[in-house]
Amino acid sequence: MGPGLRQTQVSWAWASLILVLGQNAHHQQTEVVDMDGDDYTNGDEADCRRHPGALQRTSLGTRTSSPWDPQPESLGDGDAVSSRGAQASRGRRKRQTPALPLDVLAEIAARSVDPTTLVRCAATCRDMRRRAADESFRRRRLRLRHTGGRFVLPLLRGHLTGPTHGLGISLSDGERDKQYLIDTTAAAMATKLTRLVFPPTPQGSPHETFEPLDSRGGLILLAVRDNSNHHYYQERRHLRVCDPVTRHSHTFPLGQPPPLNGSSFVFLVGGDQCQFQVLEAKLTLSPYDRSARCLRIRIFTSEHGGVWGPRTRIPTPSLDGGLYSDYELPLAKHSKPLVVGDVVHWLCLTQNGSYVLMLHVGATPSPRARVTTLPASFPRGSSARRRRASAHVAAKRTRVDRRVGARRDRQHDVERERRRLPLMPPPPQRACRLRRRPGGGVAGVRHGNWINHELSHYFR
Amino acid sequence: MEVDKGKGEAEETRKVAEADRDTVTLKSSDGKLFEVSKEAAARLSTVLAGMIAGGSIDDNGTDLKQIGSEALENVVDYCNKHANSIPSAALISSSISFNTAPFKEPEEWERKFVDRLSHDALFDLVEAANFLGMERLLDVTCHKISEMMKGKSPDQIREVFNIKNDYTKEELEEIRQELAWAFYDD
Repeated sequence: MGPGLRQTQVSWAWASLILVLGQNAHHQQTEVVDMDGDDYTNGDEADCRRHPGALQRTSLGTRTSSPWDPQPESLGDGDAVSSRGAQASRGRRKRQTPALPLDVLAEIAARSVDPTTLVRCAATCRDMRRRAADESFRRRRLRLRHTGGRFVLPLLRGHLTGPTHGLGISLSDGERDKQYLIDTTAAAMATKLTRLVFPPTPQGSPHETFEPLDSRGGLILLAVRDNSNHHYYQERRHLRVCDPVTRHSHTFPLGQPPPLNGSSFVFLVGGDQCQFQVLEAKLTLSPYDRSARCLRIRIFTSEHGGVWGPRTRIPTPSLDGGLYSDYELPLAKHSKPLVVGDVVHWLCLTQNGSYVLMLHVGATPSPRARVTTLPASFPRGSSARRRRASAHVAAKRTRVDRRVGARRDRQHDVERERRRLPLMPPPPQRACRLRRRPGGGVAGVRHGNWINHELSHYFR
Repeated sequence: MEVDKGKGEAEETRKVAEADRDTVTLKSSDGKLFEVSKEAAARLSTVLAGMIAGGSIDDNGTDLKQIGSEALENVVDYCNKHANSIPSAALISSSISFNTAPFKEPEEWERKFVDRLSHDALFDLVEAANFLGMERLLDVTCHKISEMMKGKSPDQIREVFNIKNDYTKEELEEIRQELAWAFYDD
């Protein structure tokens, strides 16, 4: 880990998490007695932590200040040890193992292999609990192996509830209060909710707004917009991955060129390598041109310093949006993706059918998509809702049409005509665009591609 | 005393002559001397590095009163073995992770190194590593101990580490209820 990386891991304070572990323990000023009999209060730990050697010397019982002591002044405010000596002399234990100072025990706990061990350590005595609940302890020392170095309680391994709109839409005040992480494995959901609290003025920039995009494995992917300058064209937006528990976060750019309008983001967490991937995906539907139906993706990988890959286009010809559909399906709004390993599944309910769009992100040499058509019996919700949805789409399209103007209206009529007779090839109204063959047939444009040629520039 | 002083002065002159010696001598609490390469000591231990940089290394044996001879022997052993081992690829790869200090799995030889130690020796070694500011050795030894702690109840941990339980009964019950997921096996 280079020093530059350390800098990017800004401590973030947007969500203060209510951890049961640390509710009372933060403000405890425990007064403890060292073996020498000197009194110490637990003062500022941060001073000692800079020098591991100096910190621990205070806790080794026999305190000798050596001439080579790099930080002799830190002796005074070090963490003293709780009453470990008293018991050792009682000989309650079978073996004569030298008692380890609590500092060392905290180091061990911080390197625990699983969160359970840490919690059990914290349950041994007050001082350990205070240490485990200490935020700086979690932020700086905790490296639980089984969570990939992230301290994630099972409680927090769930998903983010509440609205995730996608890029460009930040949370309203009411929605901010509805952000929860839930444990999807819990039987009783109600008891397993952990609320994320957004403070009114987050530290760092007071002008940041957050757009939750996705969450997985206890980590949250946000788009962060810095509103400090009010020029629209200078608006700066970044992506940020946050760990609510350790409060580590990593901010990285959205990439150049900027994401396509209406893109959805999926957050993928690697196994135990502390790595993550961000998938930017946009699904384009086209009622007539099967070749125009595609999924356009771009992947950010945190490995090798973090890079955005190139944008790739994966054809999805069998995903039929239906005639009344928009030309794109906003995946994030439509359904929350199901991620298994490095395979992302979206449920796409369109006019013409129900589909599962499966994207294998880790496939070699390039990501692979597969569309599975679900049987007609697949439950899709009430038909009334579908009708409302299609009415909404039609209304939206009419609004767009008005804006585009009269020339567009002509084409709109063509389209409306086609809607009535969807199976018929479109009548070539603008014959001037088509060449007549000497033999009498129409050449140049196949019927299937007609809509593409004629209407593409209006609908893109 | 006089003899010691004279010897000390002789040491002074020898120190100047051999300023670029490539080993340092460490003295355990019970007076045994150990030699370790200066380069490895400076690289592995922040405290020793500070001492070497600050010129407070005593050629006649730097006193480490807190460390017993067995633990110091293990420390020196570790330093020598570490100097011989080839750094793994994981140590030089650069990538984004969420750790300020990513934990690297102990390598095979490190695993063997701590596995052969007795319980007591391991605890001594942890303390010594902590004292000398040897991050990597602390990682390896703490990892081993935390593996031993896995699945133990708070009572068992208290017993092994000799921690006095200063919780009241009510507080303990409260913790058990709040963090029930951590106490399923009990």
